[in-house]
Amino acid sequence: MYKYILKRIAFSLITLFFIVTITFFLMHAVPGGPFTGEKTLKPEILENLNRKYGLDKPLYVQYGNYLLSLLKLDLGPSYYHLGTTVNDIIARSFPVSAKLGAVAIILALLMGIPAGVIAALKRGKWQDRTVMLIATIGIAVPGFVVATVGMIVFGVKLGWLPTVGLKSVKHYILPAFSLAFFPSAFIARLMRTSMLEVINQDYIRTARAKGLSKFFVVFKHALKNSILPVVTYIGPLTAGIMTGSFVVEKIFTIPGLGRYFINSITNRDYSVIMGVTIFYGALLIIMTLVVDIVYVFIDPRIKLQK
Amino acid sequence: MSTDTKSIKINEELLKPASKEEKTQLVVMRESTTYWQDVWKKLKSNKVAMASLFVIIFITLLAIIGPMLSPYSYSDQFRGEEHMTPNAKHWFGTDQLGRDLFVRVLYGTRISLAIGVVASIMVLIIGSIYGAIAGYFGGKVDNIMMRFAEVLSAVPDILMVILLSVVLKEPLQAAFDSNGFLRQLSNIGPGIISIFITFALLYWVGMARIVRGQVLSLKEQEYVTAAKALGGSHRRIIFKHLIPNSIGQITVTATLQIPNAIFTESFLSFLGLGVDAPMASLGSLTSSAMNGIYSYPYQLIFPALFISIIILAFNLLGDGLRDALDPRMKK
Repeated sequence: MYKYILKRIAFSLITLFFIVTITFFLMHAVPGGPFTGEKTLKPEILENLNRKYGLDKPLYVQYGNYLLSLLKLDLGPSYYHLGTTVNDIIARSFPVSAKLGAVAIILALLMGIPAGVIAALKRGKWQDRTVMLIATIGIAVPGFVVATVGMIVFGVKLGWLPTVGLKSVKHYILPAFSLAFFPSAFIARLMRTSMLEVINQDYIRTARAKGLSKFFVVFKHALKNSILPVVTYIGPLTAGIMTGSFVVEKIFTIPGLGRYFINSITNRDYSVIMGVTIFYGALLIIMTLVVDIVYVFIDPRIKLQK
Repeated sequence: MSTDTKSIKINEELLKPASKEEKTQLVVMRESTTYWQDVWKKLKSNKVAMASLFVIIFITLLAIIGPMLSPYSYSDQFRGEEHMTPNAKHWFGTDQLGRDLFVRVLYGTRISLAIGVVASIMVLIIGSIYGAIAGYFGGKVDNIMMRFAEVLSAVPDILMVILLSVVLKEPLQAAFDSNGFLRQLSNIGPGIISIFITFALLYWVGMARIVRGQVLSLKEQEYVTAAKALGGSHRRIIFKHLIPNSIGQITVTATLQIPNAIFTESFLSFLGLGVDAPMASLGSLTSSAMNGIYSYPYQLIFPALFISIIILAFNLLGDGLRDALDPRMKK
C-alpha cells in the first residue's frame, strides 16, 4: 500500500514537472517578449528591463533559474503590475476563489448525492424520471448560460439576489449555484448508477432479511459502498469548479484568481499567466493525489490488490 | 376417355420448382443483418436517440442553408436598427451594431458544429491509432505509451487551451498574413486553430485508452492468429482487423467527443479567446450579449438555447449509440 502511495506521489511530481516545463517554454515562445505592447519602449529601457528580470540570459539559464525559484515557491514578479509579485496576486485573490469554490463543491455534493439516491431507490417512478431529466439537462447547459440566466431572472427581473461581488452570504447564492449546477447533475447520475448496483447485492438483501429497516440499510450499508465513485470524482470536480470560476467570476465581477487569470491574458502579463497556470496545475495534482490516497483508506479492496 | 381413369394423375403444379417466396418461407433462420443494420435497428427503437438525431440533422441543415436564404450576411450592419427586439424583419432581433442575430446565430452554430466534428475526427484518428499500437504490441511499448498518455491526461486541459491560444495567436496571424494559401484560414481565426491544436494534443487520451482496452482483448482472437500465420504485417493487422473490430466503441467515443469540443469552444469564446470578430460562434454571441444583459436580455436567449440543444442532442445520441453498439447489451 505504501509502495502504491509513493508511486502516486512520484507520478504527481513528474506530471507537475511536465506542466512547468511546457508552460515555461510555451510562454517564452511568444514572439516579442513581455514588454512589447501598444507603446514601444526605447531600446535602452527595454534592455534595462530585460536585464532586471534576467530575460537577457540564454533560455536554458532562465529555465534553470525559474525551476530554482519555484523550489522556493517563488513565482517571480508581475511584468504588468510593477512592484507586485505573482505570489502577492495569488495570496490576495485565491482565498476569494477558494471560498466560493468550497461553497460550490459542498453545494454540488449536497444536491447531487441525495438526488441520485432518491432516483435509485425510486427507480422508474416519477421521482427518478424528474431527477434524471434535470440531470440530463444540467449536463448539457454550459455554466455561463446558467450563470447569466440566473442573473437575469433572480438578479434583474425579480431583484431577489445581488449580482455583483461577494460581500454577504446572499452574494454567494447565484455564483455558487452556477458553479455547482453541472457537477451536481453529474454526481446525481453517478450516484444513481452506483446505488442501483449496490442495492442489488446479496449483503443488502441479507441486511433486509435480518429485519433491518429500509432506511437503516440504505444509510448504513448501501450509501457507504455506493459513494466511492463520487469520492473519485472529487479530483475532476475541483478542476471543473476551477475552470467554471473563470467565467463565473467574470460574470459576477468577483475579484478572484480566475478573473485575474483571464485579465492577465488580455494584459499579456506573461509571468502571471505562467505562475497561475502552474499554481492551478499543482492544486489539481495535489487534489487528485489526496483523493487517490484517501481512496486507499476508505476502500479496503484496494489495499488487498496493491 | 375411359382409359384415362387408370393412369396415375399427377398434379403438374407440384412438380414445378419452388418459387423464391416458398423457399424463404421454409428457411427458419431470420434474415442475416450486417453489423450496422443491427445497430440501426436498435437505434431506431430508441425514441430519445432518434429524436436527438432528428434535431441534429435539422439544426445542421438550418445552419448550412439558413444563412443562404437570408438577405443579410453575418457582418452586415444596419444603421438605426441597433438593439431591435425579435420582429418580422429580424427574426431574432439585432445586436448593438445592428447586425441580424438570426444569421449570426446560424453562423455561430455552423462554426460550433464544425469545431465539434473536426475535433472529434482528429481525436478519432490520433486516439485510435495510438491506442491500437499500444494495445497490439503490449509489454514495454504499451507501458511507456500509456504512461505518457497518463501524464498528458493529468494536465489540466482548459489551462493548456488558454495557454496555447495566447501563445499561438500571433505566430498564426503572421503565418496567415504572409502566405497566400494560408490566408483562407485567417477567416477562421487563430483562436480556433489553437483550439484544434490543443484538442489534437490532449483530447485523444480517452479514445486511446478505450481502443487499447478493446485491442488487448481482440488480439487474442483466432482470426488475428490466423492473419499472423498467413504472414499479415503488423500494419495490416492493426488497420484491417483490430481497428475495424473496435469500431463500435470508437463511434460512441467520437460522438460524445463532439459536445465536449463544442462545450470547450463556447467556454473559450465566452472568455474572448475563441473566434475573432466579426466572425461569430455561439460562445462569442453569448459573451457579447452579456454586455447589454440588463437592457437587452433577449440577445442572450437564442445563442444560449442553441448551444444547450446541440450539446443535449449529441449527448443523448451518444448514449443511444452506446446502448445500440454495446455487445453486452445484446439480447
